[in-house]
Amino acid sequence: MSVVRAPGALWRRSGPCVVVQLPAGEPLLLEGLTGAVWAALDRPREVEELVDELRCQEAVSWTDRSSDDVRHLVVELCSVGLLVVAP
Amino acid sequence: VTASLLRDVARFGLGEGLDSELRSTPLDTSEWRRLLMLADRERLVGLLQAAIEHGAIEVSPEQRDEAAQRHLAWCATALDLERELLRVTTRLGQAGIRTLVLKGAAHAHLLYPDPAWRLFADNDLLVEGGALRSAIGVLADLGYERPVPALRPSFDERFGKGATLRRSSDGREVDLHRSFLFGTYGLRIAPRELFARAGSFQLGGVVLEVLAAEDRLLHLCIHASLGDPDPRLASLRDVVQAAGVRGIDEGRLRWLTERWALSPVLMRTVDLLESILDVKSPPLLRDLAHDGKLVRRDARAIASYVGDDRSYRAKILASLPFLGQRRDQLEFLAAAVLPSRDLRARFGGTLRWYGRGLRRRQTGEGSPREVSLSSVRDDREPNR
Repeated sequence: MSVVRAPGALWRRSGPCVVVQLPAGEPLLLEGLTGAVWAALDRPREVEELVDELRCQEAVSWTDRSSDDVRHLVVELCSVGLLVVAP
Repeated sequence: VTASLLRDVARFGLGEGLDSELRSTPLDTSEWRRLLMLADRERLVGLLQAAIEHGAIEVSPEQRDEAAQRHLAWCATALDLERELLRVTTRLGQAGIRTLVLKGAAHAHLLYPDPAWRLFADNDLLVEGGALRSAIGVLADLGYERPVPALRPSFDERFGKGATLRRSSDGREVDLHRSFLFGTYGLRIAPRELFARAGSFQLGGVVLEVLAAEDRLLHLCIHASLGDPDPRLASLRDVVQAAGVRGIDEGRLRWLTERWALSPVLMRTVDLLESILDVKSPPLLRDLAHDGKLVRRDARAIASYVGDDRSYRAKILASLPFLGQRRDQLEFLAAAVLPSRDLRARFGGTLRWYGRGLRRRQTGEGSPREVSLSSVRDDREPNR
């Protein structure tokens, strides 16, 4: 499955955080690994490609659990509309 | 120390490397408070945050946190405004009204390497003069009202700058422009031409129209030079950014400068860039400014924006020599001397409203809108 940022999402990076505004609702603050997931999805990526990409990033504190965390985060971010499945 | 550092922040990223040192020790508490307050006022919170992130300014951990919180609040405000911009432009587009985005989101996305460097507090749209009344009607459906009525029904569409609309439920404002500003330099510009050569950018997957690069640069020079006697540092930085945009057509810029008789304004822009921002003016602007000479009526026109008497009356009187036809002059004066009944009722007389200048401070002048942020934090991560 390939995912990408929701096309209608407006966002700004602030230090290690990202603020995202969807067409409805309050702005959301993405911190830590969540912010890194967002930053890496500037183009559609397969989830496993995303995991590999983040594993290589120095700024991400990678642990044994991080791969699963990224997979769960992708599902969670899709459920709130921040990410969409790429066509 | 604070004023000097603030100016350095306004120049951050110009010329030298992003990590070139601006401040090697943290400011004391009172200086830091003053810097934050001035950064708010001068719309420099984005550049301050960037300078801190790149290590150009040394700060204490508490100061780093405080600057980051401030930046986040401004980011949330800018995003909230961008979302509203999309709503407003979509609704106007559905009504067949074409708009160009001025300032705000357009500058953040088109002029700066990262839109988080340039934060803003309102939305400005250029609408074709003939559509101004319809646009106000369309935005009324979104809850916007016009607090200051038109001088006269037709005045807005022929001579006015536009209208500021406000929504009382949440304090949001939209500035609908017919031209860049009221008075001499607003009358010299043909807004219809701005639409004919418009550019575009994407926001949230939606294509929005903007001024062409040459028009944008001249608009910024006008705004920085005549918008306020003490322009914001961010407005001056915008000019430098806009002059550095690739693909500016120098021939067209020169033609427009002559056509709109802007050399005297550019002379002031160059002076402000060098005396306040303390940067060498872009050669492009310096050349255009030196092409001009300041004659008495130009000096009077500029003084009506940034001199001691900046009243509506001063702008009207300074504008008259530039209204070529006697009929236009009479119509312009008639509207000024005998404003609409609505306006007279609002300001309590025929002429008394003159002195008040119809100027007022914008909502959110020195601070971001209060917006709560919901955190999507990854609680599973052990080392955040």
